[in-house]
Amino acid sequence: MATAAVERPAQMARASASGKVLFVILVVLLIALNIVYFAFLRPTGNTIEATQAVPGGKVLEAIVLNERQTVALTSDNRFVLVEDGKAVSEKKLDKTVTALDATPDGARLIGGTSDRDVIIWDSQLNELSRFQVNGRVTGLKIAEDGKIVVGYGIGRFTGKFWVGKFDDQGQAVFKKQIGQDIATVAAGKTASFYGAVNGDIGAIDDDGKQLWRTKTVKPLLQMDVTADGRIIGADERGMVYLIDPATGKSIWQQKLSEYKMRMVAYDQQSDKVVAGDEDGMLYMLDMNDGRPFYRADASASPLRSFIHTGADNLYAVSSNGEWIRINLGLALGAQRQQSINTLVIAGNALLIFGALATLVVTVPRLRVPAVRIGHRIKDSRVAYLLILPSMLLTIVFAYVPTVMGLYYSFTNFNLAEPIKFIGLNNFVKLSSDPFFWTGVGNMLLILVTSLIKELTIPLLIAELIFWLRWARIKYGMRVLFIIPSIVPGVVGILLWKQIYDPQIGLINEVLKAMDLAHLTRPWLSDANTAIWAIIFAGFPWVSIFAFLIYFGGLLNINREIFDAAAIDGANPWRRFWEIDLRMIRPQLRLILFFTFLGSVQGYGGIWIMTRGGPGTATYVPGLQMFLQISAANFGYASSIGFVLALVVLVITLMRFRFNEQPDA
Amino acid sequence: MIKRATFNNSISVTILLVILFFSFVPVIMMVTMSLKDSILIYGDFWAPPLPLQWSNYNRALLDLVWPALRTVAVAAVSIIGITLFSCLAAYAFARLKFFGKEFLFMLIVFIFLVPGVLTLTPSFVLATDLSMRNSLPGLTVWYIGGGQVFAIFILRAFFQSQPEEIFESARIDGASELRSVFAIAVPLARPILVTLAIMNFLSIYNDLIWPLLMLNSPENRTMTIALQAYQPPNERLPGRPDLGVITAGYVFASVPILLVFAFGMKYYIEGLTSGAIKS
Repeated sequence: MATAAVERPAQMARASASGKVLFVILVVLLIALNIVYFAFLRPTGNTIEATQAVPGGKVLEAIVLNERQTVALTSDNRFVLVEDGKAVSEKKLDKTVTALDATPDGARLIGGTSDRDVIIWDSQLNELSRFQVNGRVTGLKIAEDGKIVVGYGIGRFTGKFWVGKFDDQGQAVFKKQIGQDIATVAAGKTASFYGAVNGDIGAIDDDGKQLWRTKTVKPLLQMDVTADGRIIGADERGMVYLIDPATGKSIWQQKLSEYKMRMVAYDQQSDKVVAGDEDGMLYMLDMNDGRPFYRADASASPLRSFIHTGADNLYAVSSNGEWIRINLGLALGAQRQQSINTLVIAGNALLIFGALATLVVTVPRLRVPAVRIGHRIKDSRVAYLLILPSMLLTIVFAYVPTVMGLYYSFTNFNLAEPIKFIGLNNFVKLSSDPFFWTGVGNMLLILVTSLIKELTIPLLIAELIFWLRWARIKYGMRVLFIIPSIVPGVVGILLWKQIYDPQIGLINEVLKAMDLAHLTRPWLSDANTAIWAIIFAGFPWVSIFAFLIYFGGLLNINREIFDAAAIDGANPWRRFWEIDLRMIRPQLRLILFFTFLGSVQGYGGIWIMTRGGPGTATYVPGLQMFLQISAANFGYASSIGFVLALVVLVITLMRFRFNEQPDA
Repeated sequence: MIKRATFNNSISVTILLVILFFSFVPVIMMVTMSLKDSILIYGDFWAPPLPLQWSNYNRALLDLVWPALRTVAVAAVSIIGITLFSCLAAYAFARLKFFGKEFLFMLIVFIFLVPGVLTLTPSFVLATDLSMRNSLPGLTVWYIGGGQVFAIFILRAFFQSQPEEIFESARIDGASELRSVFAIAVPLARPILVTLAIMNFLSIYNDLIWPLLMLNSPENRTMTIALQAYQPPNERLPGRPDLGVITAGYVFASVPILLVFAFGMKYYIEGLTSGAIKS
């Protein structure tokens, strides 16, 4: 390419000139795009604002009284009167209120309690009257005619549940027994509706006649009635339904979330459905088809109650008492904003790439290396082909799991709830998890004893065999020591489990034969001996791997060093400490390192022998991780793996540093 | 002087024999129990295995032959996969010059530092997502993927130690890179390849945790899973497992490793003692 430039300078100059023009145009476009964006298209103001309105306690429900006033019911049985988003007064209740509603004019507030009362308050929270129903109130709504629809019942899963409609004095319009526990009720124009814990929904007219009964996919948690009398329901698996009040048929149903829907309401002002889930997501749905046209992460805690929409804003209350205001003007523009942002980013990326490419092509000092790199990549294609399978396998089966593991450690990933980023929660939980710390203690014990085992016996054997003078015995010994290692590792562990067997195990049989029957015990199921039994297993711990590595180390020592030592009159003991041990230091470090890895990461043997028991006597963190995987707690399991990996990584890096230093 | 050396040697041999005796205890126990009638094991633990109960082996073989073949097949395919791919990559990293070589090798070094405890959980999730669970091919592919990095390390070091001149003359003779790998580099690396194969075989054959997570139906059980759950009923002592048959199964499980050692012991010992597996 460089020679081409020399041959055709005129062409190159022309290309260079037009390239410069193109570059300038692209840069100008880039600047213009960003000016336009920041001047006109950038989002302004906060879409969502939350203030802590209700101090202390969890909010179970909030009910609008009028434009300015809202009453919040807390889990510690208080009414808190909120005006313009601020708590102004509160009142302690003598009963546990489980369901609450207000008349449309806000003049009266009616609640049902867990011990059979229905209580009526005025707007100043003064009690007006109360009457009793035949059971704990689980749902309560005020109908348009001012009567009260109550769902109530006794016990759980007893079939003793009723839906009734009462006047202020407790005179029943009707009472109808329902075979299932009632979860929620709604009051329509001509009928009352209920949702039961088994997923039944039904309609009952004022004569107490069951009009229809049908089922939803999952049981409903909340119901409401729209202006034209249709039923909205929200279930415990994130589904919202619009239901025909005449037949019970679903008009549409919309899956919004994996979480329980804690809130669903019809908003008269905007003619929309407002729903909220356990995770604090808020949704606004179109009435025609249930399509969510707005969703927002409104709070960290479950959304409980929808208050109302004002001119521009939507208000809701979360379970920890936040008063949430959503600017609807901005919110509804949010989707548009999203696409604008995407376009701006894409435009920026394209323009920058175009400008850089122009630059590379135009400026010879950049073009030459770029072309060279291109050539080198082309020349390297054989090498790339050779490493391709290995690289692909490594990326899929090593890199992908590594990244997933790092991510999962900071999530709640399990099969019961949807995956969610939870920061350091797993690690906080781990730091106060007694299972984990028991495991760490055992792991350290196993680590120390394993190091001792691997550094003594195999080294002793290697030394003794290496210094044998009789060549045939030397060879024979080496082979003899290798023979027991043809027993697979798992079988070795199973054999030791058998040796410890309380009824028919070798150790107890030996003790009995030696008249020491009082010493026999169930070694592996006695919490005092179990961990030591696991450590002792494999006695006399002839690790063939370590033996061969040490032996190889000794073989590689230059004979002259030994001869010189012999001439100096060093006895075997001194020679061992001053020559042998020093010269096989790399081998010792290798075994040290492998033993460390094995002790921190190995738990298969413990799983076979005791499953971590009795109790938690032989727990180790690795085993705890394995059991958490089996229980599908992937997030927590990953965080245990993360901690162990960190320990291993630190030691590995230390080893590499150590290896770089000369052995002197 | 000679007398003193002889004396020292005799002491060494005595110590070695004592240690040998103890390390043979489980093996002796396994073999004697496997030849005993289970009634005799429960009745008189120390009685000699007479008459020899060879039928224990018939039963154990019938129960365990399929898990054994399955495991050997998985191990064999895995070893072929590991060796083939890692040879190609290690050769490229050791012998060829190419753009991005240092960076790509750093990728391998880096992942070598990531311990298995970190990847166990996500591997389980990934295997589930890829529908690889409860399938022997899935297990095998996973072993091949997991074995790459270590093998590349060892082989790269070995290939680098081979003299450059051989490859140079092969190149002059017009041999392709692929030919250089399989006609020159690989045959010269046979001892280290056999050592690697044995190490992989031992680790796959003895693997417990990963198959335990991956496989859940009896027709896919590998040897370790079958063994740890092996409880053949005892016809004459209901409620207690037949220890004779179980230990016969243990002996049977040792056969593949015996065979591998019989063929590859020389290389294995050479590989470990030569210091090739050092860092």
